Amino acid sequence: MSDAQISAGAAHNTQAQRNISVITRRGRRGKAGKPKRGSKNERRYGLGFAMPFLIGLVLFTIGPMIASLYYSFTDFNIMTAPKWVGMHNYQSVFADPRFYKSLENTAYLTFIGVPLGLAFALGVALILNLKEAPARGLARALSYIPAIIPSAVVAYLWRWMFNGKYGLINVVLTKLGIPAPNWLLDPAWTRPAVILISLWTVGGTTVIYLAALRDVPRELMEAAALDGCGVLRRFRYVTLPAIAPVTVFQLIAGLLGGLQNFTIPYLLGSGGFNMSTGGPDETWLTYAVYLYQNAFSYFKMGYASALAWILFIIALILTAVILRLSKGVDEDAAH
Amino acid sequence: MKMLLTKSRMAVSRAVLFRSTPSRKTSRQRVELPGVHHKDWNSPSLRSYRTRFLSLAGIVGVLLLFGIPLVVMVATSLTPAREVGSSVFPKTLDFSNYGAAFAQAPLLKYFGNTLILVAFNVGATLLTCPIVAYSLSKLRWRGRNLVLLLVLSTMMLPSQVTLVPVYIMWDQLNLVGTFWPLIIPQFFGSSFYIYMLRQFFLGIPMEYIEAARVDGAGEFRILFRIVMPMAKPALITVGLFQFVGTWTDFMGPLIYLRDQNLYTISMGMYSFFSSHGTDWAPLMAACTMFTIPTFVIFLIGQRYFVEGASLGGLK
Repeated sequence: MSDAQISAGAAHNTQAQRNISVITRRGRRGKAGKPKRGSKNERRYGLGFAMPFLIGLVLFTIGPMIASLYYSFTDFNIMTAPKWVGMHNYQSVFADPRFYKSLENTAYLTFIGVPLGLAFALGVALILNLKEAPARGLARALSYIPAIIPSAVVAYLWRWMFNGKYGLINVVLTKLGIPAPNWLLDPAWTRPAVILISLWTVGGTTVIYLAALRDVPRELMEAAALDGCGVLRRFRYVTLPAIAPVTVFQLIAGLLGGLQNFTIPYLLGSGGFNMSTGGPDETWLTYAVYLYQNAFSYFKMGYASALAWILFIIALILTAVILRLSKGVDEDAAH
Repeated sequence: MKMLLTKSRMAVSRAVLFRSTPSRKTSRQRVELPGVHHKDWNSPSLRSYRTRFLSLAGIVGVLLLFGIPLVVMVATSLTPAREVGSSVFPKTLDFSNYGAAFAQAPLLKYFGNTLILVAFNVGATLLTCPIVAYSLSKLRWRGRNLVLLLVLSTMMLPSQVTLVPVYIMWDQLNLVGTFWPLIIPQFFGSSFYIYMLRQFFLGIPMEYIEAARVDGAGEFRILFRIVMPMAKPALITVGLFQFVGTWTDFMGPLIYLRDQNLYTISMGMYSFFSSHGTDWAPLMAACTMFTIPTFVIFLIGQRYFVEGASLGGLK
């Protein structure tokens, strides 16, 4: 599931809110939140229709998570039966410098890349939302297309763009007299390169911001303008609070997506087939790439499972922290 | 998670209330009146010119930022191999790179394989997700809210958490190296699409369904004959999202496909690059060819991508 998909769900809530209130008024009685008892027929079909999801949940989520927990306590190379080793995998993980390196890379890409991506997407959305701007349709299309082309194409296109000698970016930088960094070889620039690529594919977020901007109450904007607020103050005191809930949701989706950052770093770092090295100084060794390497290059399934459970716990903590921090968002929006 | 959804619902619903009030409509009309616009345009105030100039600059910036890499891709694909790197735009157009790309890899096969996966995945998604979404929106039964909570929480689960055991499961079933691991899971629905469709179904008035029940229609019939036709825009949006998801997926094929005859576009590009590392012109030709279908899909579905992101609200 892509970030765009998750965040699109957030925007859907508008409709839902109206509907939920309708349902609460009409269809529910007694304790709020419990659906009214349907007929026998409805109850039977209700569970029956939900079955595909529930079976899938057991087969592809809950079952595997339990299995993963078990594997994480074993030494398992897939060829021979798993051998119980207790906490050994977790002990090795926490003593593994590459684990910390992958955490550092992931944190770098996520905590710098995601907020930057949100700000950039909002900026693009603001431009695309300008009434005066010409060719908005074309610009909208162009900003969205990078988000839906195959990620392998994105990776190779940018390997070409970032090429130290012939790549367009360095050709232009050299012409302008700016020292051109070796984007794909210099460990200081490899991670910024990934972030720049992620800005290019930010279209999904932009579309969601566009939708959110359209829902900013016009009355408030006009009232603020009458009161003498300039563009910047209207942005700060009207637009920003109005789109805050969308931003929070995008942030969660973005951070969770950032934890899973795999394809671009993997493809940038791949030397030959099935040989992703992690790049210069292992700066492209993200958590997901490291997990993949352990499982499918070294066949250390137990170790990879331990990494998976640690990732799960990190994701839980991260979500909880953002929810906590964003508690005030709606109160702000009301002012 | 749930708390957050409720929150954003509350905030956004205010915006919707505003949107549906008549005053907003009139104000919008007022702005779009040609006369008023005309006046604005002619107003000699410096501010108006500055706004126009900044908007223009902004749009040009957006066009360049997102467009240039695509232009470079096409330009490089048309550059004769000797000239690559010497200038951005080719002096003479050379289409032979496309032939070279076809000669070096079975691109059509990759394309066909991807289409097979797309067809199965989109079909499966559009079959299962509406059924589950219907159960979670229009049928009243005990445990419904619990299942909804499960749908929401699986949306938040990083896919890598279940990667290893799911792979081991397919391995034990001897299905690694086939399309099945990339197809079968879709038949159990994905939580994001279920949630999206549920939100849409909630907006369909119960009266339609009650009336059909009184007339003796079964639940399947109601779903396929009444609810789904009414939810067409949402179904198209979900179908498009699934299309793009499968079309761009790299990790799934990387893990499960072994045989070059089964490679998808992403995997094909990967093996192509691994063996023709610095042949930039044919590589960009392949990239260009795989981008064109995306353009087409975007042009067809443009409206629905945006709708999916905004509301999919019933009008």
